Amino acid sequence: MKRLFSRLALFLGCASLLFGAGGCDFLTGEDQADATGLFPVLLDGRWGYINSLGRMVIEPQFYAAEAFSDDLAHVRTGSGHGFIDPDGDFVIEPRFEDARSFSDGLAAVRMDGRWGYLNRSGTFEINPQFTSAHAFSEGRAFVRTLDYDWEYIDTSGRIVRDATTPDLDEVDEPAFSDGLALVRHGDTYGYIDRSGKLVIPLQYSAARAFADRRAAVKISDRWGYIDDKKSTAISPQFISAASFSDDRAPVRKDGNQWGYIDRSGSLAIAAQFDEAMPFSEGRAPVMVDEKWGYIDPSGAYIIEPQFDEAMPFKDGAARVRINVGERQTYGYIDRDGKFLWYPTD
Amino acid sequence: MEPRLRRVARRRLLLAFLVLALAGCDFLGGNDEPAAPRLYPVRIDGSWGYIGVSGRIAVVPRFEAAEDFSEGLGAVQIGGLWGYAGSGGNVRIPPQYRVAGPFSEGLAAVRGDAAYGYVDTKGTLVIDAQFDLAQPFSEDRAAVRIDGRWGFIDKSGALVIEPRFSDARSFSEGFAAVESVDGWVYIDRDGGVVIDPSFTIEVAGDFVDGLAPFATSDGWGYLDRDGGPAIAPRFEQAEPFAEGLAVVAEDGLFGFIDKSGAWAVTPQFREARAFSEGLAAVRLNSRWTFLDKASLRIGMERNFMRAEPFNGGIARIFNGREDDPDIGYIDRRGEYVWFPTK
Repeated sequence: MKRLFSRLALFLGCASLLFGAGGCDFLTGEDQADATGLFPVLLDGRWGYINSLGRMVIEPQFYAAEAFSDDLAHVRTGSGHGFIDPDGDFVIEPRFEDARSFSDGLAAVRMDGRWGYLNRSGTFEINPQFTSAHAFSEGRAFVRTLDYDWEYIDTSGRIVRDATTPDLDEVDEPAFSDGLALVRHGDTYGYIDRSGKLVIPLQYSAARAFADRRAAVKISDRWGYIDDKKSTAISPQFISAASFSDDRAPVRKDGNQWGYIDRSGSLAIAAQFDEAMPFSEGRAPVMVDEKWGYIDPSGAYIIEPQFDEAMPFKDGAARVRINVGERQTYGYIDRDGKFLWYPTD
Repeated sequence: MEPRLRRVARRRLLLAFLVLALAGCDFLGGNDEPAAPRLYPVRIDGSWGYIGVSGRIAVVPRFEAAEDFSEGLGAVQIGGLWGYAGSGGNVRIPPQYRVAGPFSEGLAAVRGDAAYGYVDTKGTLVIDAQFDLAQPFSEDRAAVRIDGRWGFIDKSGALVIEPRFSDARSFSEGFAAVESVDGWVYIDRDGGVVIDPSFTIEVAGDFVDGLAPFATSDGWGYLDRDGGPAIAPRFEQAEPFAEGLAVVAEDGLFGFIDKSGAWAVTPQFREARAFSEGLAAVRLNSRWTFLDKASLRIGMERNFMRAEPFNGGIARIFNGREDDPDIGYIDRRGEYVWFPTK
C-alpha cells in the first residue's frame, strides 16, 4: 500500500513536472488528438489505463481491466464488475458478478448466476436467463440456456435456428465472421449462416472460424483452407493452421516449424518459428526458444523474441508480458517495437 | 469486536440525534390530516419505527414490532401486545391485542384473548369478538369462521351469508371463492352460488379484471365471470392478473402471460410475483430483482435475498441472513432509500 502511494506520488510528481516544464505543448490538445486508444496497465497490483502516448490517464484502481470497446471498458472492483467511460467514470456501476466487453452495443453480464445482456446505458436488453454467454458478433451470440443447451440468439434474445441447425456443442471461437459461424456436433465441424442454416455440412474433424473469407479445416489429418463459396481454397497439407489476416496465415509445416502462407497457399515467410499467431495491423507475434517477439509482413523482426507472452496489435500497440521470477509484468510496445509502457506489475 | 461496538455506538448516537430532531414532529405533525403520509416499518438495533417514502425517519424506532400502515394506522407491538400507531408516531389505539390485522374499509380484525372482532380507526370495538378467525373487509363483506365453518358478515356485524363453507376467500369484483363439499365455487354478495363449473376446481383464486386463476387435475388456468375456462388449465401454477399480466409456471420456471394466455415474458424465473406499480419481483437463481413492465426487462442492477412488491414508489427488500434479515427499501431504479438495517 505504502509502495502504491510512493509510486503514485512519484508518478504525479513527474506528471506535474512534465506539465510544468513542457507547458503548453502537452496541453494544447496534442495529447488528446493523438491519443487514439487507451490501454490497461498494471501498477502496484491495480489496473489503470495509459493513452497511446504512454501517459497514465485513468489511475490504477481496478482489480481487473479490459480494453475499451464501443467506448466502454469492462473493469472489476472489490464490489463487482462494471463499465467505465474513457474519463474513468463508471457508466455502469460495478455490481455484476461477471461481465464481458461490449460488442454490437451489448455486453454480457452475470447476475445471480445468470447471464443477460446490457445496452450501453446499462439497462438489460436481454434478461439474465442464460447459464453461459459469449459476446455478440454480426448480431448473434452463443449462449447456454437454462436447460444447458448451446444456442445462437439474436439481439432480441430469441434463439436462432432452423430445421437444418444441428444440436450445438461448445467451440473455442463461437463467433460469426463473414456471415458464418463454426459449429460442432460431437466430433464433427461445419458452418451455419446467420439464420442458423447449416450451409457447410458437418464434415470436418477439426476446423476454425472464418476470417478474411477463409477458414482453416482439417481433412484426414491435414489442415487446409476453404473459402466462403465452400470450395477448397488451399488443399490440406499442413500439420496445423491458423486464421488469415492481412493476406497471411500461420501454418505448421512438416518440419514442425511455423511459417506464413499467402492467399494462394505459397510460403511467404519461411517456416522458422516454434509458435506463430496471425497478423494484425501489419505485425505478428512469433515464438522462438520459449520467447515471443514480433515480425513485419516481410518476416523481419521489429522486436526480437524476449517476452513470455505477446498479444496481437490493436490501436497501434500490443500488450506484452515479462515474467520476473514469480511476478508477471505487463507492458506495451508500439509498431516500431519501442516500449510505450515498460512492463510493470 | 471493536468495530462492531463502534458501529452500534454510532447507531445509538444517530438514534439519539433522530429522537432529538423528531421530538418536535409529533406535535407539529397534525396527525389527523386526512391524507396521512405513507409510512414504512424499519428496524434499527432491534427496535421498530417508520420511515417516509423519502427514507427519512418519521416515527422514531421504539416498538418491539411494526407492521405496514393501512388507512393511516400501523399495527405496533409494545410489551408483547399490539396496538396501532398514527403517522405522527403517537399510539392511537393502545396495545391490548394478541393479533391486530390491517385496516380496510375502516375496520381491522383484532383478537384479544380468545375470539376475533373488528375495531374502527378510533379503536372502538364495533363488531364484538365472537369469531374463530376473521379476514379483512372487502366490498362490504368479511369472511369469518364460526364453529369451524366460514360465512360472511357486513360492516354492521350482521351475518349475511350463513357459515357453511370449509374455506373462503375475500370478495373481489363481486365474487368470493368458497369451498363446499364438491370443490370450490364462487358466490355473490348475497351468498348465492353464481359460478359452479362442470369440472371440479381444486383451488380457486381471486377475480381481477374478470379472470380468476383456478386449478384442476390438468393444472392451472383462468376462469371468466361466466365460469368458463377463458385460459385452459395447463400451467403448474397461476396467480391472479395484475396490471394486465399474470405470473404462471411451466416446467419449473415462471413467466408472465397476457389475458389471451400468450407469453409476455417466457418462463425464465425460479419465482415471480405479480406486477405492482409497473415492477414485478422475480427470482433469478437464489436472489430477487425486479422486472420492468414497460420494457419487460430486468430494470435494475441490484439484487436481493428477498423482495416485496412496490408500494407507493418504494419496495421493501431483505438482505443478509434468512432467519434474521436486514430490512431495507429501494426506489424504482433499485437505489437504496433505506439501506438495510436490523
